[in-house]
Amino acid sequence: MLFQGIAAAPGLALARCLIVQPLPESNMMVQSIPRDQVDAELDLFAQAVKSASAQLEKILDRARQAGDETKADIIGAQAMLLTDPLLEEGVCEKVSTQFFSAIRAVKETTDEQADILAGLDDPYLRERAADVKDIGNRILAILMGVQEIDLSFLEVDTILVGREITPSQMASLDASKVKGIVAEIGGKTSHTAILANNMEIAAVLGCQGILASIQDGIPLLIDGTKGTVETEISAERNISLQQEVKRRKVIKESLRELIGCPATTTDGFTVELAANVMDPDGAAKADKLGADGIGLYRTEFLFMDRTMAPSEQEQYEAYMKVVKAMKGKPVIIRTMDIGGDKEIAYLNLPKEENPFLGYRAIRICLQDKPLFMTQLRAILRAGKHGKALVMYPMIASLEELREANRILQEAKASLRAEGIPFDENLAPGIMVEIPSAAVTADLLIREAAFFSIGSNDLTQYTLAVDRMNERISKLYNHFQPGVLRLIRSVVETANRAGGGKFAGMCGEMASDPLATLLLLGFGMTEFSVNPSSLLTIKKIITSVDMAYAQEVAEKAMALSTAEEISAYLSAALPPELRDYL
Amino acid sequence: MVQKEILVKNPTGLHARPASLLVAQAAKWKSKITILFNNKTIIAKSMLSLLGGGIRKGSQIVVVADGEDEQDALVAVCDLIEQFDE
Repeated sequence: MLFQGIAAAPGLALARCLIVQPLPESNMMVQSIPRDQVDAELDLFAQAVKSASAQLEKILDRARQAGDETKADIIGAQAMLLTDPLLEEGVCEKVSTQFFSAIRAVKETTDEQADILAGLDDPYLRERAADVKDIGNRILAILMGVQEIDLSFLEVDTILVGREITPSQMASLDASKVKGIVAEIGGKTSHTAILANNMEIAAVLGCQGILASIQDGIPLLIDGTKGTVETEISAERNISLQQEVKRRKVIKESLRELIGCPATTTDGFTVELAANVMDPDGAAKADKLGADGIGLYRTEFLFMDRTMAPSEQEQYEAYMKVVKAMKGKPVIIRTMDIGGDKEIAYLNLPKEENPFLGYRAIRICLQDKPLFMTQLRAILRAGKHGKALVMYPMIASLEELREANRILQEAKASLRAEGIPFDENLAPGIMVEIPSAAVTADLLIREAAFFSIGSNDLTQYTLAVDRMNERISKLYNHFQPGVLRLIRSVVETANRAGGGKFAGMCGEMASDPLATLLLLGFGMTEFSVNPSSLLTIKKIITSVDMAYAQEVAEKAMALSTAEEISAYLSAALPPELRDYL
Repeated sequence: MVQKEILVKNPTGLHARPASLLVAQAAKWKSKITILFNNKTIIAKSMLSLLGGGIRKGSQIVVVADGEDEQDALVAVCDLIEQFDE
């Protein structure tokens, strides 16, 4: 059977599947116990802790045998937390005086303890908060009689399938054994997709109905480029598919030869091929892949999953690490893009009818000035360690750009007054992702140093298609002529402005190999792509000449529908490049 | 009950690996071992309590041991804290 989902991270994988069951909601379980059952309930808890300890011991042994010190340290720390007196006291107190069930007592105690750690202004402790939640879940799974699978140690190559694969599951899984991810919910721009791209694991999300049709352990074929999942694979096909997976691996290896080369067309036109990252690790990886810079550093991840905003110092240290990792190559730091699908508890943002049209990104920053000032000061300071640029997301009008630039000047003045070193010449640019910004690009470019086209939101807003709504996901297409006309005009406007101003793109479209010739032909000079697509895009750029790219762009723009355009772009790609898609 | 005032000198403070080592050391003794810092009482045998305590480089702390092996416990714990260098 063939399932069509959303192509969320490229790659072809063939392996047996492992169904990841979510832990039942603990508030659906018994909440209170009769007084005479206290001792029995405490016994249950003690037994569960014992079993959890045994599980961790086993993982620890394997980690040590595998020589994986990092994992062994993490698991060792978790084992210590498991038997922590505060945890035990908290649970015992809730069971014996409040008559909570062990399940409720464990859930509440671990949540409380995790909240305390998450509330301290320290990134290390925030990770420990996640550890406390993890061990809480481990104990809960045992108490609920759910067999929880440990994703951090898998014996064989595996494709994970679940209703949802959460970002925290992504972070803990064994990337050497997990070859693919399939989930019924989630889309191209979810955190799970971003992580899968970073980890170079193929992913198909939004794949509805898959769980009802498969059994645990059957072989699956997933194609993260097409967004398909296939079951019932015959033995012969299995063999030929394995060869195909191998062939792709060889191609991927061959791309590594391009690491040191510039992204120059055969007739000598060089573009800046940068990477999208969300943390210092990503930057280090991008540098190793030969990225010409960071075209999008998503800072909002620093603001998420915690109880208060990060301090200037914490932000400065994170930004500095990224800037330093790139060794003088440009790093575009985007100020936090919160709101829409990314929620933050401590900002107390009320639920909105239309979050994507609501209070988000620069709109929050321009109202919550201290929050914005803190971030701008941290970015200005980090600029001292290499080359940083700042980018404002969700700019709809010139007023907003002016106001953001005014606060940037204020941030500079305050640093100057305090004698704190920073980059005086740090250039501000904007995301072009709202149609009004694209249409008024000529006005905006006068007061911005650069544009970066956010193709995901630009597509969503231009077509009025909610990109998170699975029912209309087919309407979301960046090859719609309406979207392409806006993109072309933004690029041309920036190129006409001169003075070193440029238009780049950091949305998913920049990583789409079908779009490369078109964007190149428009005259786009900066591509910021997912690290997993960087070498593929470089292969295309270095294989064609500019005259051909311009011809392709002309012809594509003369067509009338998205379908015609993508079919044409696919045919226009030189045949020897098709293997790289 | 015995107690001793010491200065935390290592860069990490009582965090990360030093915290694990301290919990492991404290667990060896029968005495109750606590650390007084910033008007808080921190339980030395609890990783959660230590991590939440926020003891950093330059923190002045008081280590308190109370129980049958309090003297030896106090010396062992204080020695360990003083020799941390990471």
